[in-house]
Amino acid sequence: MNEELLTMNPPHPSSAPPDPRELLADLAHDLGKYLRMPVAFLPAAASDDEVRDAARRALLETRVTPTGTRGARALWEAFLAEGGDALRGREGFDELERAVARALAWETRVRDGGSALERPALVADFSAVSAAIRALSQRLD
Amino acid sequence: MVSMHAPMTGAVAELPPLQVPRMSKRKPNILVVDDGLTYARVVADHLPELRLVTPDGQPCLRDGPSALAWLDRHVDEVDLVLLDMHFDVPDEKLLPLPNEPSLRRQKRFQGVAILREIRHRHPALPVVLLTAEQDLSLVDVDGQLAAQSMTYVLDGEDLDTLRIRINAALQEASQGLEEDDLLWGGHRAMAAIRRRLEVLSRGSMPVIIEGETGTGKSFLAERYLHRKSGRKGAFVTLDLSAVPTELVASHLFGALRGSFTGAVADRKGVFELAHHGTLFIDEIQNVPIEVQKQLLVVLQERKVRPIGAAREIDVDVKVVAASNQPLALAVAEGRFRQDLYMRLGPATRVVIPPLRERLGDLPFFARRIVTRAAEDPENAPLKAEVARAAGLTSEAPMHVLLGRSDTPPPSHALALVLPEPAWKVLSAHRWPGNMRELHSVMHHLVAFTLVAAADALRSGMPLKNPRLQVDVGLVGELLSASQALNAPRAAAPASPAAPAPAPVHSQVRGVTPLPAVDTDARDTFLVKVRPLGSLNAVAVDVERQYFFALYKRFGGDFARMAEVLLGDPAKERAIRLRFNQMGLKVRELRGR
Repeated sequence: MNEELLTMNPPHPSSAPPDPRELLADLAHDLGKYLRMPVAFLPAAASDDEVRDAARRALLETRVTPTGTRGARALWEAFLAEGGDALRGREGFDELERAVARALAWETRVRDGGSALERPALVADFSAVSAAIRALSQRLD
Repeated sequence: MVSMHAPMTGAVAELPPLQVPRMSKRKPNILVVDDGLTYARVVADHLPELRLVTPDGQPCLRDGPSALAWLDRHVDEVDLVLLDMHFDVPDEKLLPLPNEPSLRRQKRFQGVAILREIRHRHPALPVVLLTAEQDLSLVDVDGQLAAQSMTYVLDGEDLDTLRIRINAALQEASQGLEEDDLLWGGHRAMAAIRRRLEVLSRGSMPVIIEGETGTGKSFLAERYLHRKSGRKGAFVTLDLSAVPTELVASHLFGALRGSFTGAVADRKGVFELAHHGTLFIDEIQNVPIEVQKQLLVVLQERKVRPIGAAREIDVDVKVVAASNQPLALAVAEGRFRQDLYMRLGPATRVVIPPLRERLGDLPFFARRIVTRAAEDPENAPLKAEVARAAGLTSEAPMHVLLGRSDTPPPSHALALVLPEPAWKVLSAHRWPGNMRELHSVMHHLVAFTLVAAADALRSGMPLKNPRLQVDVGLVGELLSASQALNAPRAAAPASPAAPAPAPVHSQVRGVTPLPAVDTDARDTFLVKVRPLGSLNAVAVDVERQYFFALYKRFGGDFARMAEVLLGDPAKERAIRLRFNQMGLKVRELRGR
């Protein structure tokens, strides 16, 4: 659990234990969509700095809402804590976990600066999270 | 029945246009409604052709209530709204989604709640909803939101897709939901029809328009297709539901005196009358099969030979063929020649959807019709009288308040208040008479309400409230004539490739068939001849009885009476005038 997670609102007291499919739907939006969007919406001719900045926002400021700022890692950990962990063992969960790990692995390079980020690989890794969420969700259906 | 109109020389501008975006050289203003900053950043950083609106210095509005409140004050400053779907906001900032009891889902589909309100308050404001279409379908069960032409669903996540969606929405919005006296509304099908008619107006190729009675086929043909065509000749209508079979050929092609029994004078055919103009043939499926071949030849050769004439006449006519049933069905049943059908251009036919399939536009239509009806010559003096009594100016416009949750009208306007039950009844009605029925009902609501208010004033009752409440019972009364027809009916098919089963159709243009009434007897009544001082007085008395009986039979619908008596529902004013001349007062008849 990192600091970003602490800025989140607690679950609404009146909400019932969440349905795993509902959790995945939220994850698809919060993590799947917003992890991919900043880089996907870059113009084709974006500079290295623009790509790096978009990747940083995608990973570290994935959701900036009135209820707080959450990074991709915090969103994933919140998903596990809220009930997503119970899906461990279901077909498709391992693929999702691996996809998330690959995406989060870019954090170091994004934070450290240095060489340019390979945009195609970045897009592929970020998009894979969304695809894995969708695949797991379809299996639950 | 032939009617002929001089070429239109100018637009009939009754009202200022809605919020047509100023699409000149300045950048379109984009308001982002999103709980996050992502889309605002995309617009600001990567879409330089757009200008990001920054309410109170903020890059976006973060929840529904804030967005709606701001838009109510500043909608004129916005050309398009980019609206997110998922809003992770405090509970008190959520707009309700009645069918979503779970808070989680209310947040996830909050964009739909906001979109509904925007559609309600600002129907012409284009909105690009940032979600996948399959997500929208989860909450937009009846598809009405998705079908609104001002609503675009972003189904991809890349810059070019977003750019294309925004551009399409802005282009469409620049056309507006109405044009002169044509009410297009926001349904996507109508936008497509509009584009298609604009293309089809060019040249002289024939056009097929299909649609149920009252959908406005002739209106569209004259006010849009003919007007856009730039043709210099007249717009001529031939209504084949009102022409005896044996006379169809002479109406179409003309006839010389003595060419057949009953041809007592030379008669010009409609092709000749419409030379260099547009010929609207209504209920074309009624052309007798033996005349269809001649019609085909005229269309091919562009020459017409009046009956009994030795020579042909060159004609340059754009033919618009209308039918209230799929012509393909008449072809399949052997009632209509396939070669003639093909000549009319079935591939580009236009099918106007019935009103019940675009009820999302009902509030917009109701608002516009009420405002216009109040300015009708017969209503305007009453409206001015009532407005003055309420402390407004004589020119105060009339707005309508639709149900409990509608936005209050501006303080300078007279309000026609439709109580919640009345609005519910109107919203649930299936409108078998389509736009004609809606026009009729709304006109009557305005007229009856104004008359009641004026009567009250003249009786010495003080009337200071600018809100005039509609009699709920009157709404039911006005709808009762068509409620027996409310059973769902098959619509004309949307695609030429897949004709739907034939709907039940009136055999009379524009007249909604009455239940359990013999069509042949619908204009037949018993009247009592009473001895009076003169033949003229007897004739007037008979006419009064006839008009009164007709009024009762058609539930006070003057358009339908005009249809029966004059063959044209648009001539209802002539019927009202005749009523006045005969001393028949509508407000008195209503109570009888």
